[in-house]
Amino acid sequence: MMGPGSNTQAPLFAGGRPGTLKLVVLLALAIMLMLADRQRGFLVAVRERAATLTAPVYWLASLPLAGIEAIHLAARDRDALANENRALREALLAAQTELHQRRSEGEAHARVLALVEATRRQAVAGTLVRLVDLDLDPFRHRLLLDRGSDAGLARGDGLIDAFGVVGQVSAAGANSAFAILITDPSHALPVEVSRNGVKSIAYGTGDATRLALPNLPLSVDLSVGDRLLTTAVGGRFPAGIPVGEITAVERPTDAAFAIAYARPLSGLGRNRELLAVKPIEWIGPPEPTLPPGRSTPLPSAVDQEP
Amino acid sequence: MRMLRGNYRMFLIAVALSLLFALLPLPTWLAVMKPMSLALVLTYFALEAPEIAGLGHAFVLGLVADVLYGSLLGEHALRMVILVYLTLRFRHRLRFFPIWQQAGAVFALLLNDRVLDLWIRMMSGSSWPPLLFWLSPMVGMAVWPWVFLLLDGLRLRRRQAQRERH
Repeated sequence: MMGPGSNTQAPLFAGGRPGTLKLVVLLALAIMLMLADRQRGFLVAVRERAATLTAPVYWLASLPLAGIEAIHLAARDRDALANENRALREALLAAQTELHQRRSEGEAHARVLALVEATRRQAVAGTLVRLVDLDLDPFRHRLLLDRGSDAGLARGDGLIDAFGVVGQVSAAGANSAFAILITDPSHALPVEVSRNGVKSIAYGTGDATRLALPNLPLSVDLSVGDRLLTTAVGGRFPAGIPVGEITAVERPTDAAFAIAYARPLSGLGRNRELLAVKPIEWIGPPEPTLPPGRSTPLPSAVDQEP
Repeated sequence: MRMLRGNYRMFLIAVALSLLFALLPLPTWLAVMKPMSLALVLTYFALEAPEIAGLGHAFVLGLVADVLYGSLLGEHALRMVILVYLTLRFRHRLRFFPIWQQAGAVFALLLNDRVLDLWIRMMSGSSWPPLLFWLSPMVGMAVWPWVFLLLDGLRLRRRQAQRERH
């Protein structure tokens, strides 16, 4: 082994004694990279290319869990499986029945809408994606998906599950993509109260059970139990998808605005199958001309972090 | 020279395993306690084999971690460079500490790493993390003696095997 004093001219990738100059250079480089990454657009391509290389690593890291699941499945006895099968079939039947009822309601609804020439509603079409069960960072509200740009995913695609809005794709590689949850503090989503159409924006709080709706007028007609739906504003999600349920409305007497909290209705990261929906085409007034450097047409429904 | 190469291979394997370990899915209550495994491995090699674990390697491995964990590009690189720099700086003192005292020093290093992490998060507009955020350095301190003994044992065994071959 080399002594600490023996390497007077340390090459970049070795060296016993830390060189202050090297430290300063590397730190500056790291900070520059971070700033460039934050300005987005610049490093997205690099990141997405790298994402292709990381796919095998993710696969490797998820092997232990997959193994445990396989053993678990194999060890479960037949009775339990048969029971589960029966329960699922019953649930399917119930859902089918309800679907039929809904279909007729839907037709009636469509006729009424056509009569009053209300907003056109797009049919939801999307790509089914699965979550890769990996821990990225328990303190950040991130997800890893098993599909990427090869399957048509792109930055800004919305993610929904059977119960509501989950999040948005924040970066798409060829075979994998990162997504942020609606509970991420950097996420904002335009919403509408289903009962009376009051519009607001739901911000993530960093708490997986809470969304915040700040800056509401004190007189806002909102009460606990109201359901929040997506609106077409922002263009990322089809209108009318459940987002959350109001759990508290605070009207401080000494403040100018009321604030409400909502509980997300979707399973967030718990449901493994998600639907990725494309941003809808722009309807409405023409896009405002943007100052250079800003890539997003609206301040809403956009994550501010890569 | 050959020993260096052997050490190098072991360094790469240990680093790869530590990167994988951080990705391992765990229940949430366990996941928040997960120690920063890459930091532990880098600290060990900076202490015992500084000719391998230099600042350049810390930087590149930090970038790899950034790509894998989807964090801000350069975030882990910055943190790992600072960690390795501090370790190398106080290497001569740290090496002769008894192991429990060394664990204390590792706690300080990991805590500093967490503070840097928090600072970067604040800069990029995140809110204050929950209290559990600070648990990981403590777990890191608790597992340090075992990490140290494991890696040291492996390195010693390899060296003995090489000596016998000659």
